Amino acid sequence: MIKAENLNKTYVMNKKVKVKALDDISFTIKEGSTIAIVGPSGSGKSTMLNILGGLDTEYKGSLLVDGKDIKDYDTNYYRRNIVGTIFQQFNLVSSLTVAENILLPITFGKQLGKGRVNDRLEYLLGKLGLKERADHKPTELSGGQSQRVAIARALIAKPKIILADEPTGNLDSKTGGEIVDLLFELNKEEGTTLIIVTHDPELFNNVDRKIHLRDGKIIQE
Amino acid sequence: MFKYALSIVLRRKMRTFLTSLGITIAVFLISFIIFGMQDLQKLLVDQFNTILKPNQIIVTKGGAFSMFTGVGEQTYDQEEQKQTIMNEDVLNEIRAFEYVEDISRMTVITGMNITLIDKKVPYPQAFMSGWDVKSNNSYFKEFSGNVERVEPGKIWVSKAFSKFYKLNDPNDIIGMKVAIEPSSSSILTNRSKSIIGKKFEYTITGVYDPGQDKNDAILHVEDSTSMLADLGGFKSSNEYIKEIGYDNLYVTTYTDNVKEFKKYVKDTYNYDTFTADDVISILGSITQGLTIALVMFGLVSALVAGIGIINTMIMSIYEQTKEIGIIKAIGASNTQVLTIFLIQSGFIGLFGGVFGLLLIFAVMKLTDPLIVDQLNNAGFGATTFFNFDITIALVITALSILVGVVAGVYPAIKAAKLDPIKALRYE
Ligand SMILES: Nc1ncnc2c1ncn2[C@@H]1O[C@H](COP(=O)(O)OP(=O)(O)O)[C@@H](O)[C@H]1O
Ligand SMILES: [Mg+2]
Repeated sequence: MIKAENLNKTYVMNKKVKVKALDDISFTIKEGSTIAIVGPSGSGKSTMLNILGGLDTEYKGSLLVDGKDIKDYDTNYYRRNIVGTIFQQFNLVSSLTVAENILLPITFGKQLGKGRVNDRLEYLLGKLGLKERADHKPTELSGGQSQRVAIARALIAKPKIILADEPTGNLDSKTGGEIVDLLFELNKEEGTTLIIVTHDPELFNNVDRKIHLRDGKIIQE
Repeated sequence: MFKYALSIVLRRKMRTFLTSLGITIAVFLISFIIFGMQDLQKLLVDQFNTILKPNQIIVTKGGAFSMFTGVGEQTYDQEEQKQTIMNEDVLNEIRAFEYVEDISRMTVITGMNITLIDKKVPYPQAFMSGWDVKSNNSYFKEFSGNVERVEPGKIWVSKAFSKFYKLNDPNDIIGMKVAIEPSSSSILTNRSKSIIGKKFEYTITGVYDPGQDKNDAILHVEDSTSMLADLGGFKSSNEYIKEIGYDNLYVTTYTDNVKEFKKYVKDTYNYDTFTADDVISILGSITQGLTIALVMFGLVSALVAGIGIINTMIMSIYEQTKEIGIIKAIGASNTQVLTIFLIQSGFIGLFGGVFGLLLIFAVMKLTDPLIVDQLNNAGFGATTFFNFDITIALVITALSILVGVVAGVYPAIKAAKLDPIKALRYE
């Protein structure tokens, strides 16, 4: 379960210019549910996702994951093992192969049993149709394939929460649709909590719940 | 993670190579110095050890024993003691010193010309001595002749001397006669009636090779003292020895520990002494001085190379900013990012070091025969000059990596501190 209470985030540019990106936001998200955070550009969606992903630690208010404030987790452990993040620009490391990219969270984490990691990798490669691509470099992949690699990377360490920031933003609508379907399918299988940020509410009609943001405030539940 | 860091280094092969070139140059310089200097010193030490064994001491009044001319300190001392004349009494006293095994006497003959009989041209700038040395003494690199010592009326000449008269086979020159006469220049400077028209003849019974030393002819000591007495207007050799004395004594001891003897000789007679140790320590300090100077060059180039690495690593942070953002976002810790960058710069150091060592290895292999040739022409018995020492090579490699890592510290800290959100937005 995720419980946010009175989240506030202000970007301070200089003494005169301050941007209030999140304005006293509270919500709870049940474990295993699918959430879409919807809102126009600049409404604070990414800001919120960065906080949820443990990337941004400078905010006011409290954010509990499984009853524990995320500030009490080891930051790197949290980023590696509690959440898996998917970005709009795929963000793959170009010098590494598909398989190596997928394994990155493991590379930086505690080394699990090699056999189990390989089983997991094989499973995800198969599930995401990347078996033939395991030794390719990201530059040899299409957009849809790249995003599937990113999904596999987000899932490899079996996180509790998947965060996706406009995961279809760089894809055509057909490929985007396929990616969304995959995300839901895998989410069901893995039992993770899925939080997707989008500015296109139509794409995610089958989520459990939508949180609408505008100017850093939740406007409708 | 290691593999990941390596993949980043290999991604920019050209740049890695160019950056590591600085280290290559530094390593080349330093290892050239170390391998070359070490061997130069070793070679010189070996050379002197064959001439002078550790238990052999040359005792000198401060005159010239040509091998060591110019070596030793000269200080002005107000209360300088007068040196004792090296006469028979002194000889006997020294011979009585507890661990002296043998003494040979030596006189130095200057201002004389030596000419092979019936030849017109004298051997130029001859250095001659009277010396009761044995033909099997280690001083001689080579000796041809059927005698143990030079006998009265006989003379030994150097290989250089026989070569001068184009008699390369010692057997051709043995049995021939030489004439020793005052050189015209010594007559001009001395203007002494006693030396005019003097001429001494000796028969050659041996040809020797003095190695690096300049020593063209050796007479029987008594012959030399009577010649010197005659030239100087003394009544007899005995009077000459009493008034002037011998020039050097060549002492062999039973022990290699000659400190006590040296002190005794200095304190009692104010004679200087030379041993292999003295020469070696002088050589040591000369090569050491050179080494230090050259190592400084190497260190400066290492410093420049280090700055080059810092520069490259900072550039590579800008290039890898997005990537650093990615790996931090998926859970790479600051320490891990730091380590990745240190591995990168360490690798640049490693590449540079290995290139440098390969280069020096190639240069050594190529030039070694040439240098050995040169040395042998100069009279050294060298078979190799450079010796590639694997331990030193490993130390140099380790130091190259260290330079890389140290140079990488600042950029690595910079990279580790990047904010992942900002880094991800960086294009
Ligand atoms: N690093 C930043 N510095 C200053 N202002 C920022 C920064 N990131 C976002 N903002 C501002 O905060 C607001 C919310 O941004 P963001 O969370 O990116 O919105 P969204 O993802 O919904 O488009 C915007 O007004 C944006 O300009
Ligand atoms: Mg956004």
